[in-house]
Amino acid sequence: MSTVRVAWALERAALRGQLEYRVNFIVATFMGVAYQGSGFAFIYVVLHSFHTIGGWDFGDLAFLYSLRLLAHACCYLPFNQIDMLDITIREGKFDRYLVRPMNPLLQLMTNRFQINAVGDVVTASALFIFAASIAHVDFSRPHVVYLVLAVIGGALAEGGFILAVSSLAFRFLETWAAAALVDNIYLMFGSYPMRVFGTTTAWIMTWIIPVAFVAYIPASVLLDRTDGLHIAPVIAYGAPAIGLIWFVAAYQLWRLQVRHYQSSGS
Amino acid sequence: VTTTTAPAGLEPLSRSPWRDVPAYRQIIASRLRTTLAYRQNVFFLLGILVLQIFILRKVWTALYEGHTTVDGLTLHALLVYITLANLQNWVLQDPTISHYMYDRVREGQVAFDLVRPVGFVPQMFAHLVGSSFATVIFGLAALPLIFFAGTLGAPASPTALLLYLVSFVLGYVITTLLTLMLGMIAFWATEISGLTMLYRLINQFFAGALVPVSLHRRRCPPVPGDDLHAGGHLRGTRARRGCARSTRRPGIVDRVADLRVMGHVATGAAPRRGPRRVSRP
Repeated sequence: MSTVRVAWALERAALRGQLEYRVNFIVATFMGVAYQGSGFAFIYVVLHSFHTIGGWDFGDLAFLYSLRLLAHACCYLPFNQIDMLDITIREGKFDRYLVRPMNPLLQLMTNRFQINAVGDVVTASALFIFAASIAHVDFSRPHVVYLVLAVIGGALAEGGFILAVSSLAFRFLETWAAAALVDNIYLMFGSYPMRVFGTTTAWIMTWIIPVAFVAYIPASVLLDRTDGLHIAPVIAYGAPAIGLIWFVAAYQLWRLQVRHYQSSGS
Repeated sequence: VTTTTAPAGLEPLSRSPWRDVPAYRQIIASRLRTTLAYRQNVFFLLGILVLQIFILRKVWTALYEGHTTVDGLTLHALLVYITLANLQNWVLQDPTISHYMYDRVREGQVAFDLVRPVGFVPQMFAHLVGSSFATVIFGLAALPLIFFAGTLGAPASPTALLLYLVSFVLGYVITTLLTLMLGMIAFWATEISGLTMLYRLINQFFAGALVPVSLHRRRCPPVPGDDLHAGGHLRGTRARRGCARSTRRPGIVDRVADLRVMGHVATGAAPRRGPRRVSRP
């Protein structure tokens, strides 16, 4: 518990540090809204001219998009510093993390706070409230429990993949562009029904990169669209567990990669 | 009247505009080398571009199911447009220079740039040109992959190709000026990373890289002959022949005026006032 308390204190200190730059705080928050909102704006604009994408109407797509965004916001709030690992290693700052009595990953996560995560949370919440009001979702108790688990599982699936990619920085020293690529894969592939992309891509985005488990599969369950899924319904109901498995595997990979750390000496 | 001559070696320097060209050439070459040295990053960024083109192709193909033309555009024409627009956007939009300017200002290294015998803005412009050379090289090398992910086709006519090249150059000038202006904000604000990202996103959306700009304009009545909107059951997009006044295509005068306004703002206000804001970090 003391570790959690220290991590929380560090996170608050990081947030307070960023709040010192007030203009940048406002701009970065707005940027988070614009970044996530631009994808939704695309869907909004095209669905005013076309009725559906891959058989999903505007309400269904809004729900899918907001679910992905909720999972992303839950992932990005704690993991917004993971992609700074490469610069931390290059500048020799990782040495400090190794000599302190706390998990280096937690120290990295609480080192700074990326303000646009606030924008992600604002956009995700607003979009989810909007989507839930127009999509045909049955908010029964089991569905609400599944929804909460799906968001957590989605966050773990995305966080796990980002952690796995970023941990390669211990070997390759510069991985920010790879992390950006992963972020874009989740943003772009996670916002549309998988059948749009064809069988092969849908399979890759399910079993190689767990994009489909973040929002598409849980949204299909909640919208009662499991008939159109490319996987068995029983796996769809177990989607949140896939995220947990991914994260545990990614953390093991991180621990293996840390052993390859070589200090820059500066 | 007495005349004096400067001692040997201290003659006034020639004011020829070509005097600084070797310096700019050095900056362009060094920026090109820097980008090539960090080529793994460019490959990943190129990966984002290829993915975006691939996804847009798939999504637009799904949207066109059951329609042959929308807004007068066939699916093939739209896919060529989307592929080209994204490729061009990627080549023109290089965020590294505004980041570079911001870093120089924040860490005080801009002082060294300001005391050099060549102007600060031309130095940054040379950096942008060098960076553009690198992205063009990578973009051209990736054309087969982009062809596979998206759709490319031959120009409609030699005139179309010529007009495209002219508009590409004008687009490059506007983007360059906007990038310089964005970087100059670093002289006023300590952090501009958020603003840079915001600019890129807004620019990508409103420049028509995701959706053709004609689809943004939806308040006009549906156009007869448009097979998607002919049924009248959808809110009509403003097609080219829809509203006479607001669909008027901007003429050459409008475009030149826009360019002049942007050019005046970018090359006049910000670069002149920005460096005056230098303070000790």
